[in-house]
Amino acid sequence: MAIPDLVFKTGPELSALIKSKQVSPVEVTQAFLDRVAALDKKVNSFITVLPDYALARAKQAEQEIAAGRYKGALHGLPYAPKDIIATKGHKTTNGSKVTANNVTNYESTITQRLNDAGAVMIGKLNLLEFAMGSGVHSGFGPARNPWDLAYSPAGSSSGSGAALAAYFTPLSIGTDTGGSIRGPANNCGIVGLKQTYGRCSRYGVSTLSWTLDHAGPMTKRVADAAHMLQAMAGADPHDATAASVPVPNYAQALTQGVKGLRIGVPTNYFFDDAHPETNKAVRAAIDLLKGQGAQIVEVKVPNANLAGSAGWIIAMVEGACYHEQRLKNTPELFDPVIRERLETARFYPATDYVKSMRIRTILMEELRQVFTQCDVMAVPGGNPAGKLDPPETAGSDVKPGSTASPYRGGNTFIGNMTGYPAMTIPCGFTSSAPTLPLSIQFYGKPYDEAALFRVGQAYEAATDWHTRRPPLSA
Amino acid sequence: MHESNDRRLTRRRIIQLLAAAGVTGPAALEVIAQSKTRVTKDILKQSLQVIGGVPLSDERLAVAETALQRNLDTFQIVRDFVVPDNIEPAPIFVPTRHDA
Repeated sequence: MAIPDLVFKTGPELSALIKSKQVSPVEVTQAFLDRVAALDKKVNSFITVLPDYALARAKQAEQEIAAGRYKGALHGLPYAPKDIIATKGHKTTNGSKVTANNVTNYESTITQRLNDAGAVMIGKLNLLEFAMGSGVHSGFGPARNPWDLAYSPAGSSSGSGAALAAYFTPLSIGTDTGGSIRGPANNCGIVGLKQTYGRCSRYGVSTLSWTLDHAGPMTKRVADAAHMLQAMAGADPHDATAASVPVPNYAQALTQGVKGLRIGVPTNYFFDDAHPETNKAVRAAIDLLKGQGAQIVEVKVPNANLAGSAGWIIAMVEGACYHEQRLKNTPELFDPVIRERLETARFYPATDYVKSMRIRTILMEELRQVFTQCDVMAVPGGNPAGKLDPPETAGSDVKPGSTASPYRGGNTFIGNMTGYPAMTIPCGFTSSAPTLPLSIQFYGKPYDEAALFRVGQAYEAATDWHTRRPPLSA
Repeated sequence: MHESNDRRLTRRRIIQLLAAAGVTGPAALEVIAQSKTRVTKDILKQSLQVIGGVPLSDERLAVAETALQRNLDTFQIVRDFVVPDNIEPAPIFVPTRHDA
C-alpha cells in the first residue's frame, strides 16, 4: 500500500489494517506526521508536534500487537488533543502567551485512558486562547479552515476541527463550554461529541467554567467517537463530577439503526436563524432518517432563547474567577479580547449569575419534558463558516457598526447549560463557492450517548458527506 | 414547564410597540437607547472601590465601559425573564439520569 493513502483511511479501516498486521502503527503514525509536516504551515492547527515521542509510542504499540496483546480499536491509532489538556512532560500552552512555556508534570485522565487503550499522541492542537479568545493575538496565530483557508474553523477547538478536516489526525479531543467542540465540527465537516456532563473526567483540563466545561471526542467518523468515548468515559477519583454511571458497549449502538427511534424536531427557536442551505440540509437529513424508520415528533423548548445569554454570563463569571491571579499579574499577555471579557465580567452582578443558574434549572426541566416525547432531538449544527476575524477587529467583542442582540449560542449552549449530550455530524455542503460544510446536531438523554451513535452512524452510513476532502495541497 | 415571558415589556416588545405606533428603524433604536441605563467610566471606577480584586487603569476602564454596555444589553433578555419563586439554582451541577 502506498503510505500517503493511509491518512485517508477511516479509523475503523486503519484499526482493521493494524489488527491484521497489514500495516504497522509506525507506518500509520509516520504517514500522519508526514502530512502534518507538509501541510500544517498553511492550516496552523498544531502548536506542538511530537514526532520522536509519537514514533516511540507507535513502536511500542507495534511490539504489543506483534506479541499478541492487541488492545482494541484505538490501538496504534494517532490522536492529538487540544492544547488545553495536560499531558505529562509536554507543553500545555492553553494557546496563550500567559502559559506558553507551561510543561505539565501530570497527565489528564482522558489522555491517560487513551494512552492506556494504545492510542498514539502525535502532538497538541491549536485553540482559541484558554478556550475563549480570538486566537488571532494569542501568540500562536489562528488555525485556518482547510475547506477555505480564509475561513474560520470556529472555536475554541479550532485546531482540532482543522486538523481532522485536513487529515492530519483521525482522532482528537476538544473541549466544549458553550459549543467549542460542536462549532468546529460544524465549520470543518467532522464529528464532534459533547457527552453528558459527568460522563468523562475533567481532571487535567484547564478550566474555563467548572460547571459548563466538557472534554470530548472529535473525529472523522461516528464510530471513532464511539470508540474514543468507550475509552475515555467513567468515574475518576480526581474529579468528583465524573459520575459512577455504567458505560455501555457503544459498538453495539453503531449497528442498531434508527427503526422505531423517536426524533424530536423543535418547533421553536432552533431553526429560527438557520441559513437557508443549513435548514434545507438538516430537514433533508431528518427526512432520510424518517425513511429509515425513525418516528418524527414535534417538540418545543419554551425558553431555549435564554440559553445563550445566561450561559455566557455563567462562563464569563466563572472564567473571570478562575483567571483572577493571572489577570492581576500578567494582564498584558492575554489576548486583548479575553482580557476585555474577563475584566468586564468582574462587573456582572452576582444576581445575574445566580439568576442564570436558576434559568439552568428551568432549561433542564424543559429538556426532561422534551425527552419524554423523543429519544433524540435534531437541530441545525450551526451556520456555514464565516471568514476569519481580521487582526484589527479580533481584539474586541465590540465591532464597528454592530448592535447588541441576545447572544445566539442557544443551539449549542443549551447542551452545556443542561449537561445533556449532543453530537454534531456533517449533513451537506454549501452549493456555491466557497464550498463549506453543513451539519446537523443531535441531542440525547443524559448518559444516553448510545442513542447519538445509533442515529449518527445510521445517517453517516447512508450519506457520503464525510468522505469529501478539502482542496488542500502543498 | 414554565412559559416564556414574551409578553412582558422586553426590548423586543418595546420595539414591537414602537413599530405599531409607526416608530421604526433608527428612530426606534434611539428611543430604546435613551431609555437604557448607561455605563460610564466614573460608575465603573466607583464600583471598583467595592469590587476590588483586579485593578483597572483609566485606559482599561474605557475598554470595559464600551464592552460592558454591550454585554448588559445582550443580557437584558435574562434580566427581563421572571423566574418563579420555586426554582432553585443549580450550584452543584449534576444532571439527573433520565431514568433515575
